[in-house]
Amino acid sequence: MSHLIEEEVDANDQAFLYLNLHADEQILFVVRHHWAGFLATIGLFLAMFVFPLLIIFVGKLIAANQFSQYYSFLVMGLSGYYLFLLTFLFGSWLDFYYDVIFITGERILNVNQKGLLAREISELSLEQVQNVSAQMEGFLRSYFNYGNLIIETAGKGTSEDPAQHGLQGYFNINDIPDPNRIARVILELRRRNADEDNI
Amino acid sequence: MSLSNVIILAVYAGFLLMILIINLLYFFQVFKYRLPGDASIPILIIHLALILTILVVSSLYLGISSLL
Repeated sequence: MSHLIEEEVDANDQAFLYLNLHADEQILFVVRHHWAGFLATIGLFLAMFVFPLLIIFVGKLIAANQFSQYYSFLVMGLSGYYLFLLTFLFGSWLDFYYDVIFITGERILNVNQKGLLAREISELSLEQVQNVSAQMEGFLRSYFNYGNLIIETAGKGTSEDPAQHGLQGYFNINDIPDPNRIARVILELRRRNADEDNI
Repeated sequence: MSLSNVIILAVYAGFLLMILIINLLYFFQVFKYRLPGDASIPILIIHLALILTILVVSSLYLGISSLL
């Protein structure tokens, strides 16, 4: 789990320039989606990988004599298909892996990679956080300890759930590792900031 | 080489060019957005190795079978 949640990151690194951090704002946690959230894509990839091989196997059984004439076209078609498949898998992985959540001492920044060369950064001030809850449903999520983080806010929400989208109050982040710990961290930071403001 | 074969090869070359452009954009994306110490570069190297393997093996097969 440690590679999914990084702590004490050097915020002065050039890689974080695009976040436009405030002066003295420290990145406390960098959280990536749990790898189990990518299993559906891997399953689809494997099914698409095996499918043409099955077709060829069945074709060879039915019409073995005619098959040898078309080997060159078959190799060309298969190589094109697998090049496309690898490109699709790598693109999906980038889409998945480059969704990152940064928790700083002041804000939560949710970087959402949207396809090729497009990304959306939504941010939420810790002052706006009213409540944080973790949601883990199903066998896989319970077993691998990952789930959704639902942050109730005083600002505009970003939920992808049509019932909640745009409503004041919901900032949903899906498939994050150890959501209970992250929820606790956010609430603790929120409380610490509130205490500092009161002094 | 018949005209239909030339057309097939031209379509295949166009397809390969498209795949190349998309992969170059991914390459650019990785170097622009990667974070220090993340898994982007190793995965990119594995991806490129697989792509090159498919290209080299299929090209060798097609080249050798056209000679025979």
